[in-house]
Amino acid sequence: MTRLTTLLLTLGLSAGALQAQTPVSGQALGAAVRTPATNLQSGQVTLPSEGGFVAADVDALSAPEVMVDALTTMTSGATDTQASTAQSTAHLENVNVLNGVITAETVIAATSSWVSGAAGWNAEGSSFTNLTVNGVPLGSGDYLPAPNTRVDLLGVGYAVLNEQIASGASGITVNMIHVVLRNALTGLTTGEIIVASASSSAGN
Amino acid sequence: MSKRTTLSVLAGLLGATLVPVGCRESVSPERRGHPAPAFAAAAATGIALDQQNGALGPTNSTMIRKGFNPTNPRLGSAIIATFYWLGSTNIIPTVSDHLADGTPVGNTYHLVANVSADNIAMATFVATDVQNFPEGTFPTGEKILVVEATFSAQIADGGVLISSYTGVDPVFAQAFGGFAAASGSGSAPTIAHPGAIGVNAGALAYGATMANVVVGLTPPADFTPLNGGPMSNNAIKTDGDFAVRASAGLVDPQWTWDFDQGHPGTWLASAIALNPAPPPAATHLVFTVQPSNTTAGGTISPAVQVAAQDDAGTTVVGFGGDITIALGTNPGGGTLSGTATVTAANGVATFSNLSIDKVGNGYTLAATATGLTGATSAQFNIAAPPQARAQVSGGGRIDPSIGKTTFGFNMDGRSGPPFQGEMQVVYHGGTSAMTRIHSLVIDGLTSSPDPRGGVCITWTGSARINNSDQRRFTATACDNGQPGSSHGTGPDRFGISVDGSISTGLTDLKGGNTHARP
Repeated sequence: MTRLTTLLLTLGLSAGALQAQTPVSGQALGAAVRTPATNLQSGQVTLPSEGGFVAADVDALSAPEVMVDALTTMTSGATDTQASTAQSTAHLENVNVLNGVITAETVIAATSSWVSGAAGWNAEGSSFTNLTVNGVPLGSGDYLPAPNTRVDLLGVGYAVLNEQIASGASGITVNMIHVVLRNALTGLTTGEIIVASASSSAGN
Repeated sequence: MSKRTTLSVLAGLLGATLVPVGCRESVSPERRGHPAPAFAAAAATGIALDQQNGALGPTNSTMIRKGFNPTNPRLGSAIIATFYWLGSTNIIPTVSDHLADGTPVGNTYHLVANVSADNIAMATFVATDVQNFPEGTFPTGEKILVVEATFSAQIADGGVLISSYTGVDPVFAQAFGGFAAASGSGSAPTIAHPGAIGVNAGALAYGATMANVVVGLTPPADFTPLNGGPMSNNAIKTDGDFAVRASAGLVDPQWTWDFDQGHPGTWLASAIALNPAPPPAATHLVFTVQPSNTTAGGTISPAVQVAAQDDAGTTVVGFGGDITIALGTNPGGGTLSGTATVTAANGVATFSNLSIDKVGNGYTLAATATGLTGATSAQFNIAAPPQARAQVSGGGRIDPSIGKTTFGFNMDGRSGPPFQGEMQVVYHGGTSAMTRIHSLVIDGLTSSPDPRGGVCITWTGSARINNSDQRRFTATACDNGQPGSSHGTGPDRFGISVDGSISTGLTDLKGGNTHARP
């Protein structure tokens, strides 16, 4: 856990009581690619500020940078005088990033945010199944790397696995795979790939 | 002196010769007997005294007989008749019965104990499952059942004590549990006892004594005197007593004869045991607590009870087999839930958590048990549960056996049905393809407490499976307060079933949240 993450978590969990019946927000995303050649977002859903439920299904995603057999994203939330809650999931099946540089049988991003007297968030339920990076298995079966685990992708750039970005007392974004593409010669960023992203917030 | 009622002694001679088995000893009387056979079961209703009568008197006859006036025994009961007499020891009678008007009855009386000494003798006979006479009270006497002994030689004095008992095993060979007999003499207060016999639980212990002098007599403790207590005349004194033992053990009735130097005497004593009738066998099942009307998914209360009963309609408390409940008539196409097979206790099986998931009028339950005729309950109805005006939203992940499952939903039960709301559930296990369940219509929404202290909201409706197959589903989300709400303590839960073919069970959340607003 990075210092920045620890600080954000501490701030988030100790922020104390927030006003109830506060607005909620939530988003989920199956995959997003931004390169000079590709610009796509697949399965993006956004929760209205008053709560509700939004879901999206994508039967197959096939882009040069990302292939997914099927994905479903969901975000839901509610707000009342007692509590406000929001939660999001992105559930992907058979993921292949950059033609096999990163693969996984299942990728699930899950976040939950709440404010009820105190505010908080977690990313419990997020995991990979049979994850490989650079052809090497990471973990076995159901596996969740430590938050913000960085792995280099030779000649490509690097990836952050289980990237967690907190915001405020209850805001959290989890990007299960975040690839930063870099020019091998200049080191300049040339693009980004995000796979399985969920975010939620209550009262932020 | 005759203690009670009449004694009829008719003249007559019949050639029966019986060998006495008792013997006489002045200090340590010899005792004879045999142990009771082992019968484990106790009677369902127990042995009880039914009728009794008896008398002594000079006879100068070969015959002693006595009627059960004014009330005959119950049919099927057992009769014990003890004959006392002065005279030869080898003239033990044959015993038969008839009505007072002379109509033969024909029950069989078995000699079960006899003893003689010093020119006094007594013999006890038993007839089980007596039949062929009218039950009831007959003040005019014609239909009174008479027990009659015919001796092989004339006797100068004697009498008889007759008593009948319900609850005795109707088969003599099984009813007779053993005997003991003894004799002795004394010139001081003397304890007369036949020796111990074993009795089974619930068995009848019957004892009789006789002496050739008329002195004081103390009956045995823990026994009930028959016919009002000892009987006596100028020549002999007799007594008969009985007891029903709740538990198995030894019985040795002891009388105290108040012999003295001026009145030395000889005593006889015998005891027999009769076993209770075996518990009746269960033959069929009966709903003793019928199922009540309730709501779909609600527990049927009070608990349904099914009893194993015998042909007489009495619950057989010894029945401890399994009884199984299933749906009989199923007008709503419902499914019975709960513990459907229960082991009977004291003959009764109690089904305390039965429920039916679908609405319908005229349901019945069918009860079965191996070897017994089954039973069908009365009809009852399953109504729709009251709709909850609750709201619930949530989402997250569970890991049931069908595979990793993510879900999300938002239900509003404040108006409808149909209710506003939407749900999606996605799962896949191993390498199988992803399955998506997306709600189309929400037409039921109920609320119930969660044992963890929170609240569960259940909604039903139709859903598409993988965007094609439309099927019924039931989903439940329970808000127990972790994280982010004040309901109960413990993980939130979620579960869904689709037409019985897909079921996650109600499963703790691995991630996410449920937020109920009941």
